[in-house]
Amino acid sequence: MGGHVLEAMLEALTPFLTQDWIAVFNDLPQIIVAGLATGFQYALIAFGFVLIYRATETVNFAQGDIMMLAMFVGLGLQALGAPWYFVMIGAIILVGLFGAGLDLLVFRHMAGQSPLATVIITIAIGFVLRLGVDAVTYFMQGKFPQEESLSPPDLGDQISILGVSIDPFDILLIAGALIVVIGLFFFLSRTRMGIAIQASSQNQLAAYYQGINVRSLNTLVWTLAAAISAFAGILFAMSKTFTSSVGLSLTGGIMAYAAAVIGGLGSLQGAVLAALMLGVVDNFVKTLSGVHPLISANAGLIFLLIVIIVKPSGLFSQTQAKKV
Amino acid sequence: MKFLFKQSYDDDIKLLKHSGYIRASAFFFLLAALLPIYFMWAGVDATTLKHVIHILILSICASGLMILTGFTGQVSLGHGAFFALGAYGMHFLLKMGVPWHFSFFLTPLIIGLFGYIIARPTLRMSGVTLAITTLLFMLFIEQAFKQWGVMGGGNGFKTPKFSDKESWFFFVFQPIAAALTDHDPENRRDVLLLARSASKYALYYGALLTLVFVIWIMNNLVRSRLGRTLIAIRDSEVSARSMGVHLNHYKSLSMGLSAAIGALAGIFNSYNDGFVSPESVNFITSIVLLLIVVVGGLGSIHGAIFGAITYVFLREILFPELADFFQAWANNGGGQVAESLAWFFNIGGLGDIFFAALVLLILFYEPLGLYARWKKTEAFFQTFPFYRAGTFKRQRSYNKTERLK
Amino acid sequence: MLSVKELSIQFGGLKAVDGVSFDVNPGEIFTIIGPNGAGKTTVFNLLSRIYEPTAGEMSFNGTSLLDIPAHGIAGIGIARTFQNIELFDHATVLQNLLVGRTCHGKTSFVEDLFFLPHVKQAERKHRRAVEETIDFLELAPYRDQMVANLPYGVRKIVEIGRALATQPDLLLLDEPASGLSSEETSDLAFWVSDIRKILGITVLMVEHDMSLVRRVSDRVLAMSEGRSLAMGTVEEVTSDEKVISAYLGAAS
Repeated sequence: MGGHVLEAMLEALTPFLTQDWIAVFNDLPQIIVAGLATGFQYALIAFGFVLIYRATETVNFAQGDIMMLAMFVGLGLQALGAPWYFVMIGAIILVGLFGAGLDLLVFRHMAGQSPLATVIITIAIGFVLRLGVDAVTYFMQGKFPQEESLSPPDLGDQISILGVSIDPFDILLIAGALIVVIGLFFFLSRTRMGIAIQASSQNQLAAYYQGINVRSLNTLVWTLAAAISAFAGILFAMSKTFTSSVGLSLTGGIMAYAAAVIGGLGSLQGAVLAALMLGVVDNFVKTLSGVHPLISANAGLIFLLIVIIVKPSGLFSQTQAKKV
Repeated sequence: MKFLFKQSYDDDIKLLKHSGYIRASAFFFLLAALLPIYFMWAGVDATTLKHVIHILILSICASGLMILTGFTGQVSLGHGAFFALGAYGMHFLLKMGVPWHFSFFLTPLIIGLFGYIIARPTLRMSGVTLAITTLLFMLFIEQAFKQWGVMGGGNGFKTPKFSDKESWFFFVFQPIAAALTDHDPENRRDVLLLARSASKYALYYGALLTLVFVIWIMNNLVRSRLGRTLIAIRDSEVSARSMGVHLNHYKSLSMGLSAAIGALAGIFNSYNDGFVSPESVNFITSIVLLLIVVVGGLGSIHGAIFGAITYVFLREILFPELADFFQAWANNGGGQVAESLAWFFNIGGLGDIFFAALVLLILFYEPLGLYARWKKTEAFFQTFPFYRAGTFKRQRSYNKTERLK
Repeated sequence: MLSVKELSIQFGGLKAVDGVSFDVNPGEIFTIIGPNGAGKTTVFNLLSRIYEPTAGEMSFNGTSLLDIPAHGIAGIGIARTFQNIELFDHATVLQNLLVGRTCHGKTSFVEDLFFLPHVKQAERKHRRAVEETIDFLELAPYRDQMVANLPYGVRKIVEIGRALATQPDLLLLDEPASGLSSEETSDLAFWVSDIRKILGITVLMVEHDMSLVRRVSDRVLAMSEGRSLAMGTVEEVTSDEKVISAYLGAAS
């Protein structure tokens, strides 16, 4: 038994010894850029999750499925013949309204219930969304959704900067993510409304008494979070294929949740940083040759598990022991 | 109205608290024990029996999750992983030549230990971390199973029959089944059929006994120090610690326990399905388990069983039945309406949607689940006609942050 | 019995407790007073090892508390209550008190799961001990009620009961009278002195209500901004100039 373990460990290490490190090093800038693009994609999905947690202390496991909904809304708009920017704007508006509806119909009434019940409601909503999209697609087309994708905008050929070639779409993605994160950061920490949101998250009842309209603020937050997710989802759908389970898949939602958690729940910067690390690690290990397929295909997953086990409080922790 | 007079502390400690408990438990146990006999007598088809076994299996697994989520207050989004680990572990051990009974006890033990070990580091912080970790862990397990050549890789493997001709189950049930179903023992095909159905009945009793065992364990938990400790952790970690509770140890312990029980359910499930594949570790199983626990009522032993019955009834019995009903109607000239209804109920996953929607409704109107409704009905009859609507009203607690920055 | 020397803790730049020293003698009722933010509760959290001190020594009956983890404090005979009640809301009063027995006569979890005969013995023993506490605090009418459904005043008493159920040598009470009516406060004064007189438990208390402090305390420590200002009998401390200026905010 012990021999087997040793053998397996040696086998796992061999690829690192036999690797052509010089070639890997030469490719490094390219790998990092590709990783950053993936990372920003994860970060964008994570923002909605972080925003809702930050503003309402609700852990929203439906965020990935809201993103998935946006993708399918986009698909529907595209089928109607809308150009890519209309697809994007339409999905953002419609799904944003859906987010507002969720708050008005469900989460508004959950105030004062235990956080556990709220978490489970979000899980159930995600579940309903996912199966609902399946059922609606089946209703419209007579078959369940397969691997779908949105046609990306035609932004010209690869651009080469300092010997690294970048897809213009990736630039759009990175720029979009940066705008969202900077905008959110300023909104939360520099505007009156943002500060009111933070206050209401820290103590709902006290915020009510202070005359903050917690209810409409929460509706705003849900709208915003859903819209951000829709933006992320449309960008995702234009660059990769997706199914109706993307909201909780290894290439989509889960990576975003995990990035938000190891970034220290509730921290925007943490989420970005964790997502970028995740993207780079994932791309880096994929390019190594001879690694066991279990590891190379799930490098990001393994990275996340290791970080969580080593530092469960996250890289930029905001949660501390409750004050008594 | 009924009054209970307690005369010694044992009245609170003992398993069956009063005569009502004894009668109810005996009634339900007899009902469950006699059900297959009725099935054989009435010639109910094998699919129905399979669904009933599924209820038992889900009840076992949900009870396990109840320890973690209902009592300790930790959410696991990847409990399907332990379900699958149980199935894989069992059949791997069998393949290694470990005797059946030995692997049956060894598998849950190993998986339980495994659950304890992975929970230990992740439980240091908030419960969200655990939820995410279990999710990641489940996905990793699924990928790992896909690569596990010995166990069939991505295709999975077929499981043998639960009991073969040599096992004592077969000896007990074969004559009963023969007597009840009037099979001709001379006919070879019938004997094979009988063997198969006897194996199903054996599976039923195996799962039933295991469920009774798990319920007994849960009851012991609730009336002993361990259960109180878990509840204490759920309600206030800080004061539990000041009362001398080692938080990490007990949280991980509850994870280990629920993992072990999940593995036990997974073993039975592998026999009930007849095959095991990496797809059986899917996300939907995990979520459904969690929803079952919530629908039933967090923190109650009955809850897990109520939830499992609701789920299987809705998804595997009611919806297919409705589809068949409307199909038959359509075939008899029901017209457009009947046809579209039949088509509607045939959409896969519709039962799951309705179940999830039911969870939403229940959480809205009865946050403590079906068990709370059960308790209210019980109280209504016990205190008739003095029941007040506010008897079980709970105080709302407003959210305060745990973040200090 | 309890001795604290030069205890300090810093949160970021804030010195919440700064070089506080005091001794609690067996059988006395010792009270810490001080304006809000003086660091009184922080001292309690340090004693129950929820916070790690940045400097200083704490020892109880000769053993250093720094060697003991937070969940070991109850085992050496220190029990506490919390400022904002931290009861187990969805459990009955009886169950709450029974949790207090966690540190006594441990049974292993395997024994608990199978409810072996000696677990039953232990349960009877725990129940008997808890019933004594219930009698003492007159909680019998609430025994089987959910804590979440109890009025505030009763919950305060239940929390003291839970601490007493651990059978401590030293009881830490964090603002036991906050939120109580004047009647309830005077009941509380009787109980606190009875806890010492009948049960022989030493009490260390943080309290704002000076009428309660006057009635029960043997000695008082006044704190302000993390430092200790004065220590002595109630009269000595309340007439101390530094204490008066700390409370009234007079310019010195």
